[in-house]
Amino acid sequence: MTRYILGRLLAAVITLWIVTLLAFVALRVAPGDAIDAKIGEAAFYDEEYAEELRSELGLDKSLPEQYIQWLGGVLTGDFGTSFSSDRPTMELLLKRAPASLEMAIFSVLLSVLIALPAGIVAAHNSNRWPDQLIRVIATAGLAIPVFVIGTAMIVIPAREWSWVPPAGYDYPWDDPVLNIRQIWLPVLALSSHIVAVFIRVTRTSMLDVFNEEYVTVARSKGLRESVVVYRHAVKNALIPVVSITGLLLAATVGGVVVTERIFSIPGLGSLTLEALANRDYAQVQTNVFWIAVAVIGINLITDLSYGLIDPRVRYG
Amino acid sequence: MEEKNYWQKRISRRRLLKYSGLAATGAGAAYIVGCGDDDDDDGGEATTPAASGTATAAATPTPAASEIKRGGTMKVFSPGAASLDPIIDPSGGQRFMLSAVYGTLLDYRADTFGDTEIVPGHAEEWEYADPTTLTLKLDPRITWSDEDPMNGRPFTAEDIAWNVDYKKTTSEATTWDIVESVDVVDDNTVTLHLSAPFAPFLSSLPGGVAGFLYPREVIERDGDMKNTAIGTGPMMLDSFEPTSLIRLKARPDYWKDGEDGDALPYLDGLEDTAVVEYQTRVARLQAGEFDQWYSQAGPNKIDAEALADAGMDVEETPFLNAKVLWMNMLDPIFEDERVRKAIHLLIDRQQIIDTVYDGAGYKTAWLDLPGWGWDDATVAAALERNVEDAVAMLSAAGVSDLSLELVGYTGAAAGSDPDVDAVIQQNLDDGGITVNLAIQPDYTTVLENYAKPGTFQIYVQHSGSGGDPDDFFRRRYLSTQSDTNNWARIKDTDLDALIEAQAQEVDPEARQEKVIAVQDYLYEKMYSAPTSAPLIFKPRWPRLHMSAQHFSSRAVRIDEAWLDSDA
Repeated sequence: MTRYILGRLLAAVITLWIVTLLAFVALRVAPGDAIDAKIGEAAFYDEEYAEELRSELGLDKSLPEQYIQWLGGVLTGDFGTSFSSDRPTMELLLKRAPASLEMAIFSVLLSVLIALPAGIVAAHNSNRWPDQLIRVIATAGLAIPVFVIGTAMIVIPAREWSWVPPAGYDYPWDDPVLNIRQIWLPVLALSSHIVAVFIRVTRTSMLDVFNEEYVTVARSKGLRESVVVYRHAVKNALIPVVSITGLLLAATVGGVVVTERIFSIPGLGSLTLEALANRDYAQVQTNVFWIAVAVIGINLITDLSYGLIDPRVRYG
Repeated sequence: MEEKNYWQKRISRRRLLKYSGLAATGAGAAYIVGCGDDDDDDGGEATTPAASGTATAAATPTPAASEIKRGGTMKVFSPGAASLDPIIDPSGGQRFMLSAVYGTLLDYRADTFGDTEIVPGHAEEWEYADPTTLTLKLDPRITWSDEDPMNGRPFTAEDIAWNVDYKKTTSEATTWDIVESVDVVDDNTVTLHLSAPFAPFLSSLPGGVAGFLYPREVIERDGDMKNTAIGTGPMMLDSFEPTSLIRLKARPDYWKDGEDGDALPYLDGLEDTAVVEYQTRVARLQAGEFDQWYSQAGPNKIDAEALADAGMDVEETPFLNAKVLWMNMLDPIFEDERVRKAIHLLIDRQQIIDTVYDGAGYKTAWLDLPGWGWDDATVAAALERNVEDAVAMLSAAGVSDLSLELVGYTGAAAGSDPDVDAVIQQNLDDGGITVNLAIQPDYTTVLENYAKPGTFQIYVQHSGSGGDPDDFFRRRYLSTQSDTNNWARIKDTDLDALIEAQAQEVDPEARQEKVIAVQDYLYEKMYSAPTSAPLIFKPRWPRLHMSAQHFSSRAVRIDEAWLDSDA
């Protein structure tokens, strides 16, 4: 087990290094320039001032030098300063991450709460009307893009009832009521897609388990259907669901940007997008680093949790 | 075939001031679509900076004291700002908010959107003793906000002298380099000595980034104003979250009194939340979460009508920022004047207005500023389409099977517009010119990959007018300007001389003639072809009482704004 974990941790470090390198190179070779983004729209572009700024930000050094300098900073816990705001990038990330994390966690939780029973019911009633209905809903959830659902969620109440969820984000520990008023609709919008994925995975997994011999044996022994389903089938069907939960949580943290923008919530996704637009390299690199840490970490935890759900799983 | 001399014929009809013509036709005059107060008093009046002025020049109408209500927070939205220092982050959406924090020596009159009449700000009086000597007399009541390290100390002439020196070290240096020396006459009097006569200097003092008066002690302590804002205006910074939220609160020690005899401002606070998505902006405004849509590019016509139906006052105003087709003079094909003029003749401005702006647009020449441009009739005649003559010109130039790449970008509506590019592609095709569209993701990409290196062929981008015609001429056409600004690489010494002549003419009326002369020359040479501009819609809930604002967020009278909670 320890050897397995150490191996995974080493792989995680290598993955992380590759991600940072790719992000660094992609940012530098992408069209546009940090200095142009910063002063390009000033009334009079001054080349001398531009060069001064380039030197001040360390952008006049060679790319390997810039990368090594950044990596050295990371190893000492210094992720650099945002080109745009002149604040430490970690300060901005820590301010904006809670919104994205909260929305991602709640939307995944809500999706699991809805999708697990729905998937079980669909599988248990395979090809009958409850299954058909649930499948239609799930397909619709997958087919309609989140930005369409989100936009409808904000535009329709505004037009019909002059109501919108409050813009912005207040931490739950500062104002829990306002926090809920701000995020419940974005969470619903995000869940519309996630719940559809969960339903399909749960249903497929349950159908596979229902075809297993031990389920047939349990039924032939005359056990009640509820016992067959909930005591024998569900637990074994959970492994792929747990696996997809981790992946979806990680993907949602990084991909919540559309929802954040539609609902005007300042989260990690919109911070990254704004930093990209401003060519704020330091901020993008910090965000990418920590999103990668989150994704790799969640994957690792997911893999390790298999052992808890299924005692047959052993790590070598 | 004899070439018709359009250029001589059309230049003869001009001189009337452009927006007086627009006001008469209603095409570009500001008017209210929805219900509510009356802001359309003198939208067409032509105005130019006066050589001198006093406090009596301020003619902003004021409400009766009994009507005014105190309290409340005015809420607006913007794209968000990464920093609070507009000198360092000029593309940010923070200027409107900061105009409530920082004072300026002079202001634009704010009765009407786009008004360019200069009125007193922190300077009660100003006077040119000669074309290079400008004396300003300050309001003796002005104090800095009572925050560390300013601690409410008086604002003096020394602050102006320091601001001139400081701005010369920043990206705003081009505005202030003209000031050779500053004489502090006494605490409330300062004389600026210019190195040469420069009429636009007065226009750079009201509002905007160049005109904001910064606090010396803060710059000396922090180096910049990225994360703080302390000024002499009616508001002080409450909180700031980069690209997310700016919250201001009323200064309890503000030095100016309101109509009711108590200290201004009437509002308790001002809040700017970043809202990026267009539909979200419309929805939040319609739901009443925000008080007005202040940024330059407002809602489209359909949404503006929906907002008016919901009870908002919607002011319709000219964009004041013409979209211009730039031809890269580094490309040999454009060396022949006939090719440039043929392209100009092929553009169907009316089609752009009808199809892209849904009828809510207007024809404009290069300079889209009230009081400075051509009159309406001249614009209409000069921008008339004539495919037959265009084809003849191309033929006379020996050009056939011409293929051009048109660069544009998506994103901000204020700059490039792929829909306009598509119409131009179609228009030029009518004259046998094949246009390949190269639409880029954003302005920075175009700037870096096409404009700066001079690799584009044609590029449609707004003119970027500031508050003074010189901003536009100098930035886009002067030979000595950097490639980033003069992206079409126009090198014409005669044009340079005309630009400098209008800049050095401090007599307003004489200058106006010289500004027209520059435009006449631009028409003669056709280095760039004006296309059109959209009308823009500025919705505001009737509960908000505030005079109009200048189009570039200058002259915002936050101190006199108030909210009627019963409305």
